[in-house]
Amino acid sequence: MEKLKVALGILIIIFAIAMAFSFKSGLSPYVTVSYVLEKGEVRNVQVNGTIVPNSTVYLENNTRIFELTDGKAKMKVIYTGILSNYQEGIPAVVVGDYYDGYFHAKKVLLKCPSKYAAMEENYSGKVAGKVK
Amino acid sequence: MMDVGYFFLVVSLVFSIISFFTLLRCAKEDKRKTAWKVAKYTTAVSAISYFAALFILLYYFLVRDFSVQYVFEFSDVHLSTFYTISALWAGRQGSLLLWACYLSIFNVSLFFSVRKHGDKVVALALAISTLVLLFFNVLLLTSSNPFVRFDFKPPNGIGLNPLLRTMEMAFHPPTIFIGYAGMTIPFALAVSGTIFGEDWIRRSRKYLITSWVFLSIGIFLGAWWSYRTLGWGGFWGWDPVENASLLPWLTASALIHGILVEERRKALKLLNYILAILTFNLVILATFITRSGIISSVHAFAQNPEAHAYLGLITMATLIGVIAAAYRRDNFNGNLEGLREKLVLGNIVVLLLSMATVLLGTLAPLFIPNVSVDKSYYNRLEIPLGTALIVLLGVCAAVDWLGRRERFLEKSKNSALAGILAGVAVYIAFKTVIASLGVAIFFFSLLNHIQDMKGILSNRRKLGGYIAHVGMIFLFIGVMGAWMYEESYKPITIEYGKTTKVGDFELRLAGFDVFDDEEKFTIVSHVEIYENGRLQGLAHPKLIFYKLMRRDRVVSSVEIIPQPFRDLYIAMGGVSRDGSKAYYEFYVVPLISFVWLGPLLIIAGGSIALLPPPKKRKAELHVAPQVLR
Repeated sequence: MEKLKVALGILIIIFAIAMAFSFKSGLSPYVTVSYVLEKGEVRNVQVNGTIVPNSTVYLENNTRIFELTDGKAKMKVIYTGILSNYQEGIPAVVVGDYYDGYFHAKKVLLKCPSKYAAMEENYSGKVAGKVK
Repeated sequence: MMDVGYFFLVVSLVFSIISFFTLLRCAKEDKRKTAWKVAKYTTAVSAISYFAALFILLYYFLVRDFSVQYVFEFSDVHLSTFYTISALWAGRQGSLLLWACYLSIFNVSLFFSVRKHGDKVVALALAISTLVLLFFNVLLLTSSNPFVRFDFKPPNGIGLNPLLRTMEMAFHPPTIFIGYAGMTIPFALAVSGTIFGEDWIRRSRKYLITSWVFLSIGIFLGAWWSYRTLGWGGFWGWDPVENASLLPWLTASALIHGILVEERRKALKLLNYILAILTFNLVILATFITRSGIISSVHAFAQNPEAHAYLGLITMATLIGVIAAAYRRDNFNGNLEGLREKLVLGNIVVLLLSMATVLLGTLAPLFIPNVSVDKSYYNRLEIPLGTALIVLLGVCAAVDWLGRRERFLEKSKNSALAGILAGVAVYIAFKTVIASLGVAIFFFSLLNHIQDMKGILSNRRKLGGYIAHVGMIFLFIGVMGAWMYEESYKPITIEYGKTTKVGDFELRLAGFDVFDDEEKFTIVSHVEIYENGRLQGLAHPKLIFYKLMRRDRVVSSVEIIPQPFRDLYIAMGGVSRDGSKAYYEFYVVPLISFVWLGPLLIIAGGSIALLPPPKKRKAELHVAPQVLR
């Protein structure tokens, strides 16, 4: 029993170390829209924000341009690809590079459509709540 | 005037309070016949009141009473009856009400499982779980009241999120909540049994496994939905909401194995006790995460008044657990002996490490502002853990409770050989080390289980366990295939009537159809999929435009051509304005059918383990420890 306890203890410690390293390298920071605009050019960042209502322009080739805001500043995002359940006014995370006045998104993550914290949209269309 | 539904929630509160105090009296002394009866009836009345409230909410949905805010938010006049019913649990308040209904049913069933008047262990356990019920009742009466009304009646509602209009999502919440609510019972019995120094394992086994089975079904439906609806070719993204449901599943799985050792050896008592409390706490955490979306934003946490309530419940459950354990420290003595027992402990440790990994990743954004945790974090840790688990399962199956070395060697010899051969064959065919290792482990563990199956057909508990293990093994190989060897092609543009080549595949856009009804406007495209010139099938990916008050409600519907060892998966992203071309994403997902087969076997195994033992077997079980040794 004692031997087993020692063995399990060692195993757990080794795993905890692996976990710490993996965790550290697995963290990726979000930056704000204001930060991106201030820098003028940044590569490979995640930007957190809300899609500005009535800002989306659909182009040919499955491409769209929309504005993302952090409440202070707005930037234009350009993205090509499928976005199921795309909606203006909801929080989104965009991953990619900012240059020449546009954020070129490689990925756009819309908050999961989980129903549990669904939009608390009131009748006037104002967005009061948040989506998971 | 008070709403009728709200009135029933008040009634249930009153009766639950009476029931709680009566149960405390029952727990003080055995054989309180009158008090027991009172507790039984008040518990039943409060359960009936919860269901009355649920049906009244359902009624508001069916008659489209949009002056009820909850009905307004989650339905509209065009929603079909089926999805109108499912909208009942589409939001926080309704799903919480459902949770409470389930727990009240579990309480009633625990009552009726006791024949004699007054089993004080059950009485105290019921008092504890009634307290949990009261917690939810108070939330339902205050911050999560589903019966809040506007002072006017809107002509139409906002409508149900289109992505939730699928069979899977209609059934996912009600099944997963059975699992959540049911885990309250093992927790309550563990605390109560420990206080009285009596067995809680046998009393709670049925509830534990039932809840675990429903939790498994719920998680499976969620993954299935994600794969078939979201159009990303995946089924599990380590999203906080997915993780939340996995956490209690992992600890409950550990507990199921822990009680096996405790029943047999009177060992691991403390670990099992901790697991029961931990599982309950994780269930509460999961309810909180799925209902509040707390993890995505620290601000949401600070603003949500319920956050403190949930945190309070978790703290209280932990405190009660610790105090009860400290009070009966002598209860937890026991010595772990036997090779198989130690291997089971190894499995439990792997499950717990896996839980710790998921928990850290899920909660990290709460403590470290403005970060996200990459999928790579989970994959790097969970894949080795999963592999270790599958190897351990295979070894375990070859070791009997006596831990005889010769038997182990004899049993695993052939499986190991078969595994190595299969691994070598895969290496020669595909030249990938990881795949061949995975296949070798797969065959080793699988064969070790299968060769033992014949001998245990009459032992339903063991048979159920083995079937669930085989399910895990299939899940392992399926996940490996789908995660490591998926091919994805995006975005793809196809011109009308023409062909686009991607990899070994050629996709031809044969035509469009357009449908229009009062709920939605649909564009159906017809795509022929060829591989090396051979037709694999005709797919009909769609774009659906829902006519809702919400803006931009466009959903792309996925089409899948299933083949035995892979899926051809195509989603439509858009169409050019003149209709001359359309845009797609195309995935080839290998071994995905095993990802579905695995959980189905796990669910079947759990259900088989719940069946009562055949009569002949029952007599044997009395002398089980000796016979099985």
